[in-house]
Amino acid sequence: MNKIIAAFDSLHASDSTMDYAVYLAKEFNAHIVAAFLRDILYHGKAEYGFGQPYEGGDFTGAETALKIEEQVRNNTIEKVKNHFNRLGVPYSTHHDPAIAIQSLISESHFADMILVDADDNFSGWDKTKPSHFLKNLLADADCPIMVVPKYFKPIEKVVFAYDGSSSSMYAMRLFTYLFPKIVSQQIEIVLISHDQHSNHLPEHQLLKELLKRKYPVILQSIVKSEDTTDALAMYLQTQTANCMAVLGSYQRSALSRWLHQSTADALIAELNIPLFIAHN
Amino acid sequence: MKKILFVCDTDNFPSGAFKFIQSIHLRDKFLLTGAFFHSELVAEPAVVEDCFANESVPANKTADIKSVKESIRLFVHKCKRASIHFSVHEESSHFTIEDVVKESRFADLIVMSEELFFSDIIVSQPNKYMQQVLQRSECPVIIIPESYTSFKSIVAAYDGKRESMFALKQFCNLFPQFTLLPSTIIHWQKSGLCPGVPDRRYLEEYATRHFSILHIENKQFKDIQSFNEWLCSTPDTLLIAGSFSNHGSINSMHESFIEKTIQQHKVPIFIAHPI
Repeated sequence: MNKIIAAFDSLHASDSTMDYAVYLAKEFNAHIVAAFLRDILYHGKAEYGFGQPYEGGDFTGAETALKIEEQVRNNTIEKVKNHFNRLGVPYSTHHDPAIAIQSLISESHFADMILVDADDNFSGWDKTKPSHFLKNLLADADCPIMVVPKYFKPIEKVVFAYDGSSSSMYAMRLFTYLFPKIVSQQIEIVLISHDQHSNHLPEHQLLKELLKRKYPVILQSIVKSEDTTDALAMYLQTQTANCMAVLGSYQRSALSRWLHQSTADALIAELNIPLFIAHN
Repeated sequence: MKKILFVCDTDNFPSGAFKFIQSIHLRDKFLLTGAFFHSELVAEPAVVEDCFANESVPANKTADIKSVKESIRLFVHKCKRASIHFSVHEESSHFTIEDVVKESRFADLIVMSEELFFSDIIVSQPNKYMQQVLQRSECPVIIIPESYTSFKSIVAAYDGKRESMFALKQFCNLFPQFTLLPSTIIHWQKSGLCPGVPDRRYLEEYATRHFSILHIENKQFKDIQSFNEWLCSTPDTLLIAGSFSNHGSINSMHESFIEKTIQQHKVPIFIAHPI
């Protein structure tokens, strides 16, 4: 039984993370660990009923606000637990203290996968997508991450983004281990090729030898484009089935990622599909 | 279904490793790809400090080709007799680690001999060829002693670092059928050091989901040798270790312990690390 961490913002649990957790527990016999994360610098906002903002050094309302936050956290935890209890999901809970990203990375050493909402940021000021929190998680986690969109859709098709690299193969293999029963879904391999004259996947024979033992039918697509990220995003957007993309991303150094945006970042920002992201 | 890479060089056919393959074939169907490696292009310099030793000396190509063909013939014969699905990859005309890297990228597991791999060039294992495979492989490697018969229990070496958890997770992914065997996760350290298994609660939470009969032990040994003696005295055990990482936090004590275990040629070892 795989251990999957469902990462929840304890001030506002994502419904989508809950739904995907239930789906994975039921379909793939996973044990869910609901990790309720908090961050020392992340607090509820006044407009959501968390009391007045602390302005001009006036912290008179802080005590009340913190009490409200604690109440909200308890309600969130109860909501998730009730949901899992009602649907018979095997689960346990972790209440990770203080620093959300550190807690989750520590959890990743001892987990088979982490489930996290693409919109989670654990910050009152970070409006980027993916958030800094999510980027750090993708870079440093020791297990694959499934980044889920705002609304749950059952997975009908799995698209492996393949480029012949070590990380794309690692992600592919890991996915097949964690979800061996996904044979009923459509499986496709897509390559974004810069070579206008080739119609072959890199190391086609070796790839075929590996995958034909795992999936009876595999579709193959080669998209010719100079811009891998745009072409992949467009290709995934045009899929009619509810698909999930499997990517070997975030292998590069932080400096390289700073200079060149990761494909995964663009897909998280532009698409509303689940992404399975792993790197070794 | 997995794809397992059976690594063999020249005429060093790993019979123990093939026995292991046959034993797991009883419970698990897979494709066995025989990867056959020729000798290096140059023979090892015969004399150290010899000023002419840097000169390349071509290996005996005719004998080399003949040995590889013979190993392939034996492999095909054994696979057919055991009804194992197989394929044969004869690698480049001389050994290069890049062939291993490429093959491992498209395989779930490498199986190789704990004793024989290029042992005609360097007898003492892990020799530089085995070390290269263990360091550069992109999938886990299991090394099997020639005297292999079976294993009935699992010991996982755990030091609280990411490499050891990585190896444990890879093992669970690849061999869920073996997680039914009695298993021990052992955190060992030299006598006198602070006791306690790092992150025990998290480790337990992970491992109890995967292993049916599990013990987590914190053991103290006076040195690597006594740990290895204990390990080798436990009959029919397979060892899981996160070692031979190319980078990251390499624990030299842990590393040398695995090398010493390999030298004993008594225990099958499952080795994996992040690349």
